[in-house]
Amino acid sequence: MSGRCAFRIERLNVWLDSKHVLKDVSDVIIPRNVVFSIMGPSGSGKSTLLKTLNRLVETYPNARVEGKVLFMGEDIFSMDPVKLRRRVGYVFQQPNPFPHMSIYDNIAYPVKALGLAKSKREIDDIVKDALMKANLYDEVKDRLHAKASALSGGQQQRLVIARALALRPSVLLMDEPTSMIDVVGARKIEELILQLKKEMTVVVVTHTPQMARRISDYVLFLYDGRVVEWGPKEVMLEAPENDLTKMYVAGRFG
Amino acid sequence: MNAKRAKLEKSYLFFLPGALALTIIVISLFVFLFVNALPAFYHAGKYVPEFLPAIYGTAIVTTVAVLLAIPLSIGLAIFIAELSPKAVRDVLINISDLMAAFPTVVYGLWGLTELGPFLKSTLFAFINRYLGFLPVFSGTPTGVSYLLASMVLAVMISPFASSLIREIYLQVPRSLDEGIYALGLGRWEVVRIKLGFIKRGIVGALTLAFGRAVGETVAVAMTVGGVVAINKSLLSPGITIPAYIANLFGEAFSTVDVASFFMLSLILLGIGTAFLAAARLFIVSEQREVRTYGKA
Amino acid sequence: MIEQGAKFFTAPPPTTDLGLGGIGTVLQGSLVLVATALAFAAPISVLAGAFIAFYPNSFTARLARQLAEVVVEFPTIVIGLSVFGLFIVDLHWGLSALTGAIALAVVIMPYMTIQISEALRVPRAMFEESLYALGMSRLRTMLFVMSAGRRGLLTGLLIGMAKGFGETAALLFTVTTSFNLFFTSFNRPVSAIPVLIYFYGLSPYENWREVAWGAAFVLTVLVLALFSIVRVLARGGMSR
Repeated sequence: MSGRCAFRIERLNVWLDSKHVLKDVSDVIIPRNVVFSIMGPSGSGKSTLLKTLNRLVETYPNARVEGKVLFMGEDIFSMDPVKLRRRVGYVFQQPNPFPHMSIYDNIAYPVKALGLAKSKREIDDIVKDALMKANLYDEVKDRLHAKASALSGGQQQRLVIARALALRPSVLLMDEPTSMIDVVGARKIEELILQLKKEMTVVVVTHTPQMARRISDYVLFLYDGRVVEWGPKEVMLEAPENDLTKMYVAGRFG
Repeated sequence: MNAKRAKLEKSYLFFLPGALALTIIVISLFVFLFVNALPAFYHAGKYVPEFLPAIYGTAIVTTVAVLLAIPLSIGLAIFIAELSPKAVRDVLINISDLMAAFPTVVYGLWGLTELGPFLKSTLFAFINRYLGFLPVFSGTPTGVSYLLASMVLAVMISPFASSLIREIYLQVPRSLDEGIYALGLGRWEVVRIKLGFIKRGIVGALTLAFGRAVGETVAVAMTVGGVVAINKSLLSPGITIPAYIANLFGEAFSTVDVASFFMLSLILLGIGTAFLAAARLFIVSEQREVRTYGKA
Repeated sequence: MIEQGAKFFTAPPPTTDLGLGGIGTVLQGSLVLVATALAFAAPISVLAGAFIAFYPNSFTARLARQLAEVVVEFPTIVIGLSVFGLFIVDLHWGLSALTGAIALAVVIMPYMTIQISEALRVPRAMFEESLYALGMSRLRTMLFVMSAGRRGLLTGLLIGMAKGFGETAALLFTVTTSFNLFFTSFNRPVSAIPVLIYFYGLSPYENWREVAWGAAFVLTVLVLALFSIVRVLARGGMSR
């Protein structure tokens, strides 16, 4: 079992600035090639959980992490974090492309810097491939060398996704990827997520239960740093066991 | 209505003279400069050729100084902002601020008596030997030269430029940092990308340094040599506008050419102000870019 | 670089190419010049700075601030040139301690004004409203804010003083180059430390250059001392 799931989390505790943010997250298994949503009210620690999975949380000066997290059967805390982050991509809530670089360079630069390709043709192919996978290629193919800052919010977010995809990760972590985007752009990104799960595992922090319903296969409900329950979408959203979950799904709070 | 009443208050009248005095003094300064320079404008054709060596010298020395300052200031800024441990950081910032405010004569004296002779027999001789075929490095190196003045000037302007760059660098939003780490890239890439992001700010800071360096008198006058000629080699002595005014004004005092010196001053002012204004434009546009990042 | 005795501070500098002498004349000259310059510049700076801080929207304040910012970046030699031209030539005052002090005053005034206006901004924001609510008059309020911000004011004045000691270019024309005279009255010429360093440093005489270094050392110590005081003041202000 352990070799076949993307992530397995046991007894995870995270403190930020002596605040206990994630409390005893355990028995969580994220299977492969699914869309796994994390939902919960703001402040419940969803972003922190996501950032632990690619060890980004450790770049915060006062962060403390204890517990066990297995990625494809390997303990992530004994891995080189840099290598981990190449296999586990991350997309932020706020689109953060490199605004002063061209669309092309936004994808090409990390590829070159990480030594994933050398020749121009290889890099051109990677860029085109990534943009197509992110459903952005048709919209920008005539202006690959325009500055990234010229794109709309939704397009910038898809550029960021393309940038992450160019590194061919096996997991993509997304932190509320559509909450800062307009409705049309958001829908395009949700469609994209559904496509991506064929090739990789997608773990998404969703800001509404409705979004979780639209895109997920599995849902985890996080409240005040604790896992309330998690399971297949149908169970979680139609007939959850826990009362708290029922209330959240019904829109009573959050 | 309230403003009008405020104007007649005791406190307003109490402090007003200070501001008025300042204004009057500054304006009269300007007026005086212009008025005295006017006679020279009519004969501009006669004077400008005489000033050419000084204008040339100013251009050369300041440009080379800023070029030398680029690695110094950016390097120092990055070192303080990203790489140094906390304890070292404050010490460096204090030293840097101190250097920026130090009396310029001391820099000049050091350049003239310590750095100059030292470089003459080491670095300059080296450059002359291997690159002497280039006209810009020809001739025997002397104890004072354009290059020496540029180097001293570079040391003088780097602390200030570096603190400007450091402030701009620290304003880059953290989400850019995180995005770069999330891609599996390391610290050097973060530095490279952030530097690219603040490109305009860096140009602004260096232009500002240029504008201020143009007016630097004492340190340059002591290290450039005071030779009123256009020399093509960087290793030979020359003159810059403020040094020209400083050295030669004593002689011209007795002649009618006083006005020409005022005109030269205005030229100096003009150059400096132009660069300072340009710098401000760069920095403002940079701030706008930083503030709107990520808000799609 | 530096090896003299206490006599260095009082004796006049050497005029011949022998012996070492001291920097007594210029030391005294600098003290006099800076003190006088401050006497001129400080009141104007404080008043103008306060005016800009308290009435930032008035036309005069905005004008004064703009002018100060422009002049602060001026090459100081131009200022020296102008003061020379105006007072020494046109008004026929001739070189005197007064002209030197005026040149220094014009140089440090804009800088101090801006420092002071910035230093007063924070205390003003902090206290103004509560003081008005207590029913204090505008004048009392302003005086209170100035007293609360006195650390910043002092810092501005100290930095102005440090600049005054180190300023060379403005004094080149307004101060005498014969360094042997002690200060007698305001009408007679006087000299200053940095000017000595400049001329003696450029001279071909070995011993003169040593004197220049000695003077540079004294100047450095002086400036460092002033800046240390400023640093101490700044730290003390944060404790609240």
